[in-house]
Amino acid sequence: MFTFYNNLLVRQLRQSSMRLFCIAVGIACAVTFSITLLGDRLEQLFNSQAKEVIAADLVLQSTTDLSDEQKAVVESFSLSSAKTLTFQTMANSSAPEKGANEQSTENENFLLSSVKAVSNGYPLLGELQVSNQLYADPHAIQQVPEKGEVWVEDRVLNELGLSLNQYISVGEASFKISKILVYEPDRGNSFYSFTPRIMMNWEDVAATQIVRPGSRVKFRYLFAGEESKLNNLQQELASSLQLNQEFITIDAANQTLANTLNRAYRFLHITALIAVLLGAVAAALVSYQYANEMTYQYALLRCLGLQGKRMIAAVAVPFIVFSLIAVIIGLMIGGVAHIFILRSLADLIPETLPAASIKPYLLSAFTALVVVASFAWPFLNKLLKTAPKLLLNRTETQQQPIIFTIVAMLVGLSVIVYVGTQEVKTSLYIIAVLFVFVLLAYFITKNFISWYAKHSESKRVSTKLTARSLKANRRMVIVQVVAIAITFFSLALISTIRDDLVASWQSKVPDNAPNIFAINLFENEKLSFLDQVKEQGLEHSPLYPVVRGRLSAINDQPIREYASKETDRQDESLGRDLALTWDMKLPKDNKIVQGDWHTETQDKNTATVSVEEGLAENLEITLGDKLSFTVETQVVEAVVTSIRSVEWESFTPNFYMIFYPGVLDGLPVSYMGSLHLDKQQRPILRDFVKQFPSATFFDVNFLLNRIRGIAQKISYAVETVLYFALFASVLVFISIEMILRKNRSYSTAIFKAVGADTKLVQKVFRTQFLLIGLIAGVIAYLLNLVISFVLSNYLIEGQFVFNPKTTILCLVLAPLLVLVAGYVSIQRTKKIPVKQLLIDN
Amino acid sequence: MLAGLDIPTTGSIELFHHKLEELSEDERAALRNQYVGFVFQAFHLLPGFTALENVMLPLEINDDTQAKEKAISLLDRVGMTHRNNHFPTTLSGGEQQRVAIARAFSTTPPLLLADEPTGNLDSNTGSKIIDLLFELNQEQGTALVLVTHDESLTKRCDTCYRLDRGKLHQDKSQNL
Repeated sequence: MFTFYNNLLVRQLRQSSMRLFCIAVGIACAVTFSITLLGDRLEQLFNSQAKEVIAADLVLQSTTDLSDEQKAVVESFSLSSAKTLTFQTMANSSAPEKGANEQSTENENFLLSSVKAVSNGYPLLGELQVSNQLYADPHAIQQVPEKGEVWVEDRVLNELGLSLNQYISVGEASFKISKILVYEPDRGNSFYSFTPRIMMNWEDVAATQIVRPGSRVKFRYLFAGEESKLNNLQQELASSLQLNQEFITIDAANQTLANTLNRAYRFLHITALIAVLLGAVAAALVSYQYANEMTYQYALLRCLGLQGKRMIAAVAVPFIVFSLIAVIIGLMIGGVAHIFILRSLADLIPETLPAASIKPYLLSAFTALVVVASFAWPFLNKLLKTAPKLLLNRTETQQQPIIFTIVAMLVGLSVIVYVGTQEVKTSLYIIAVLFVFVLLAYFITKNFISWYAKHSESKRVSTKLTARSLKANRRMVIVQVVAIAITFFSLALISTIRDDLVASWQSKVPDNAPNIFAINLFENEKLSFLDQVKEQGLEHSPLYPVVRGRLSAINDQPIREYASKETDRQDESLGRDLALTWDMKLPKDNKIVQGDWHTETQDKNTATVSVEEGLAENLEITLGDKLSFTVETQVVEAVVTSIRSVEWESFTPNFYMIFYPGVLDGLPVSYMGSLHLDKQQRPILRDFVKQFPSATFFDVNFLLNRIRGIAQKISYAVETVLYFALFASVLVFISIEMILRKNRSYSTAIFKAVGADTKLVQKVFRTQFLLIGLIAGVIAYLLNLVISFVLSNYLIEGQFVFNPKTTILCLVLAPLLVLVAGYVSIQRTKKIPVKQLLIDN
Repeated sequence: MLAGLDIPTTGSIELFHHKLEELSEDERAALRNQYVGFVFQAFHLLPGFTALENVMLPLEINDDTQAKEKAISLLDRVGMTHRNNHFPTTLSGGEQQRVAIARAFSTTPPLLLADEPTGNLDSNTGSKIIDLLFELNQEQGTALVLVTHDESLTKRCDTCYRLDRGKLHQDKSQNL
């Protein structure tokens, strides 16, 4: 029996349609594999970048050192680890007894600083960035400060009047300032923390004699390693955790960066989806062709007595074997494509990406299975029921209920779309758009062919023959047009949205985005600072009054109770001073999502406040709630009248709480604002530092560049995936051409037999290809215009911008591509003698 | 080979003063269009073209402005007017061959080549087709070259050649 199936298999491999089937399923598999592989590895990379926020996979934070038992547990897990210790202290510029003879002791300055002592290996994720000169470009560094040395933020030098290689005193010890610290991954996004950083080696802590039992310090134990180990560690330590100890993990959803990445990543998936669907269409087409070719072979097998399970096996075995071959080929091609994608992204992603999980392998095999089961099998199914009488009358064809095929394809389509988007709502949108698109494309193409046929009657012979050939192959032409149109539509739409997306990222961090933050400006300095800024012609934000205070109660319930561990109400803003401000004008990037913004007409005696959306959500604050704040020793109360969304990525001063003017009157106030300085304008900063000694200036240029870099990376990744979809569309076109090749070679033979020359035949085909490309391009173009218009006006809330790129893509590239692909596919027929063509057919 | 669908590896074929082996594929196509009509055993109609469009094809290639009128009248002549707009798949074998004959005569070629024109038809339909072929042949004064296995058919021809084991002999017994 094995020999029978084996022979059947070998003979069927000779069928070009089966080879095409392998290619089509292989493409669907390859595309899924390369994209999910890239996606999976990038996701892991981005996740690790997101984890930079805590510089580790897991952090155990404590206000006291770990107990010996806890340390023993930690050590038993042998995870990579590091530790940090943070405390605030006054640093001073007085010269120590050793070295630094040039340092003057006359102008001894003090500065409240946040000291961070770090052990070797810190940070476990992410990297420190330092520079060797004030305001110079930073570079990454893989070590921590040497013993006896510190790295400090530029503010420390400015405010203490020190320079590099001079000495600074922290507690009882003095340290050589060896580098300027520009970026530490786990500093968090509150880059306007109030105290500047001094980083030292863990082993120097003792020498400062600052940290003693009862000191206000923060220990952080950083861990990185396998997820299961980390989970076990958390469980093991859970019972011994004290009230002052807690685990910190990153909640990716809370990271603005993660949100941006998530959106972009969905894009990649949807683009890949198009390529997979095109592969599925190609698989369906070749299976249709294969079933037609095989009908007589199976009719003959039936006639010779094959029946029951053996008949099923005779159809299914070759099919399953070919599917497996396709998956293996797909995985191999996908793997190679992945390498190419990585190469094309070489400058943008690190050389070593994290290894992939099993997910891409499973997902691509599953996709291939769905393509085979729902797009190919419905056509092959009819072979099972092949009637032997077909042998007697070859013109009789065997039809099967089309509804079965349609249902199978719809189910397959839904599964593929869902796998690609992982969201029901988006999947439904995509299926609806595809459905409307196919219907429209069908009607437009059908009517165009009829119109063209009617109007070609009085035209030249080549036009007439083109029209008739289009009409003769109408069904296949419609499939071709739909496939090509859908590809170019997706390409155009994705390219439009991508541009919008990149533009929106870039608008958040435009070239002139504020890169310097000024805080702690006093009332008497405010005006002269603004004058200076205006004089220099610098871009700047308004100066906001800032009162430092803590949220202490909600509806008279103390915050400790209100946001206790049991209530699940947590927000990182708790337990630290917030920058409270007031304003009558809603800041530029803020939007009211609930309630009403302050009005001039509101009751002046009712204190009101507007709360940031995320904080309101985390702490379940609703309109009408009464919030109490402690500012120094006073308590301020205000009723929530509006909830705002805030663009945290916008690099302008943003506030959790904006009060009605007057509520915070009489409290200690300072001012804060942001401004933009070009590289050449950097020296102005030194003047500012001198002129406004109490103020603090932060340089966030490095952060800005980091965000810009990520936006660019994603935009490149999307572009690479677009080429894949383009490649898949060419393959669909070629597979249809392969099906039509027989038909075309037959037409060629008859045209030539009745006297047409090669020039005429070629012209007829060329015009057909050009028209197919053009109709598809026009449909894609028009639909893209409509959808982008709707998207930009109703969903993205941007101005509809005419995108010339899509015009070239749809109206020039599509016809050209189809013309070239078609031209290549008919070249073989051109060389075969007419006699041979007639015999073959 | 006589129609220039293929060329000889040795020897020479001259058709209407043109040496076929010296002509290019396109030149041979032009020669066919001008001088030669075809009727095939397998009909060879284009499946996506209607009966009328199939007949018009050689006329249109010839840029004949009267293509449609001529084709209609020929289809009428072969008794297919009522099937003008039907596609080959909806026609019976006999009907398809009638359309093919109409196509072959459409350009009024001086030479008509018929390759087993009844090979795919039942004897009743076959004889009707042969009658039609000879009638049109008479009407248009065309030289008809007919290839057949049907001995009885050879009796209706002026000259008969027999291809036997690769050799062509004039069959004198059949000559009238």
